[in-house]
Amino acid sequence: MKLNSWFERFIEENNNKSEINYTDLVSQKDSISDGINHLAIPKIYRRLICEAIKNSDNINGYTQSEGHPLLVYGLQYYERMLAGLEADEDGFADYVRITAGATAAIQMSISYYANTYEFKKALIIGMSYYLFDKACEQQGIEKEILCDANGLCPRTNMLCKRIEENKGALVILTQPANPTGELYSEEDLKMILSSCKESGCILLLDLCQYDEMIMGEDFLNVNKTIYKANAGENVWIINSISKIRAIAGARMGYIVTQDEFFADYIRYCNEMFCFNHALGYENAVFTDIFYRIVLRAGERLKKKIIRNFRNIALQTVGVTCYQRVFKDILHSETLMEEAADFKKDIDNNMKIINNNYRFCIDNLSRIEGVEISELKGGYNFCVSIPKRGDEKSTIKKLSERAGTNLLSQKDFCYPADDSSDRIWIRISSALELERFQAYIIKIKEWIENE
Amino acid sequence: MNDNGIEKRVLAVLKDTLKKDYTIEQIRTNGLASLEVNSMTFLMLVTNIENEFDIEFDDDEINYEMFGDFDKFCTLIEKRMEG
Repeated sequence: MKLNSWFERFIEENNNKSEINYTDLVSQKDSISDGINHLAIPKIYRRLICEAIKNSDNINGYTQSEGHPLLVYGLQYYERMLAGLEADEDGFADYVRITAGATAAIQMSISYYANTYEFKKALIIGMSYYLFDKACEQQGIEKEILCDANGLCPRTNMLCKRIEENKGALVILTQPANPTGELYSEEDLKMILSSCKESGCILLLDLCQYDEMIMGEDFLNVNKTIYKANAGENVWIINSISKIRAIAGARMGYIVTQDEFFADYIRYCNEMFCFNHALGYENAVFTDIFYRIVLRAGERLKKKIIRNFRNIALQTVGVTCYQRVFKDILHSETLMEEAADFKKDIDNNMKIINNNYRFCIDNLSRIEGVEISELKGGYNFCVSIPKRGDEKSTIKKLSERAGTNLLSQKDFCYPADDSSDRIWIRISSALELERFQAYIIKIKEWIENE
Repeated sequence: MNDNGIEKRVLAVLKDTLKKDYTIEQIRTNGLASLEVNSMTFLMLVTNIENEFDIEFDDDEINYEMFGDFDKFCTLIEKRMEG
């Protein structure tokens, strides 16, 4: 028997199920639909990553199984501060674990739920990243996709009703929704949290594109809402650095939880299977967290924050590395300007994302039958296109015409049913303006000519 | 031994940070190193002491050994306060 016969069978079975072609796996990772942030890496990241490589900071080893301590302490501080707590105040983010991208975090969350909770069912809210679907399938968890009649996120009342009817379920919510870009309000979130708490459900909250620097005034402080609702025990947060800072290849995700056993399970997986995150990025990420906190707290708490970060750095990377990397950053006389400059890099990317979205609205929304979901956060949104044949063949034709691989609703846990005359495709707008616009024009031409 | 209130203030910081009551005698006998501190509370303890006295320890002073002897620790604070 051929040794690769199992994999051949696997490819054959799965190529029919998904838009992802397993014989050509790399193709979807460079397109207008890939969900990757292709914009400019912030300058401070570029400088500190290059310096880390030059100085071999940690790169010649593996990180600790809970994640590099600079990141564990730095992120714990940040997550608690958002919740309104002091860095050492328990009650939120008691455990922070760094993972190899949010992907590993999703896999570990779902496998932990499958092996720990009796009621093995997931409620997936709205169209969602296909990995949620796949991981549930792999773990033998029953799943139910909750969408409204149009395929968008369901109304909160309906959603809460389903939560209450499925006590002990894993409720999977991505904010902003991926692929549609929708966002639940604070009131909605409170209702969802309350239902989860009353029903003994775990809310797996994917906040991978939910960054206060990106969101600006629209930022809803999710941590504070969870903490005030006293719902921390019922929420596992998945987050990402690599997505929001345009370093997808860094594979830098993390989990925030109050569940000690879950935190231990992540350490175990990281240790046993070498799921550890990449090294070489931690100095940049630590500085990013520092700038975020300084900008949020302002001058009043600056001195205290600097001391906190200095002591974390001294205790984790030692005096030599602290003095070489962080001393000048933390004690810079122009600290606030430098932090603002970092934010400017993020803002510039946001301008491109918003311009791209606007370009789509201007060019596609007037075409009959085309609908565009509202981009309320992150950089992914959906465009509905007319169906020509079945979903797979329509997407194949459009992808060929547009010269890019497009992912459609079947890749987001929600295949178009036969009676539907439209299909949602995901558009990722974190792409350089000219390339993005060229793709949209081709999509427009296809819709109009077909 | 300090008689300038430093001890009391250190004790107050310990109480606030570690959420436990200690007496000076207890700490003098058992040493600061015997306190139940994890890495995070240690970091917070150092930061809170620095905030309380508005001082900064030298980069290479910050380690568990700095808490080895209560009186020496208070003297170190006094020294930093004097600049």
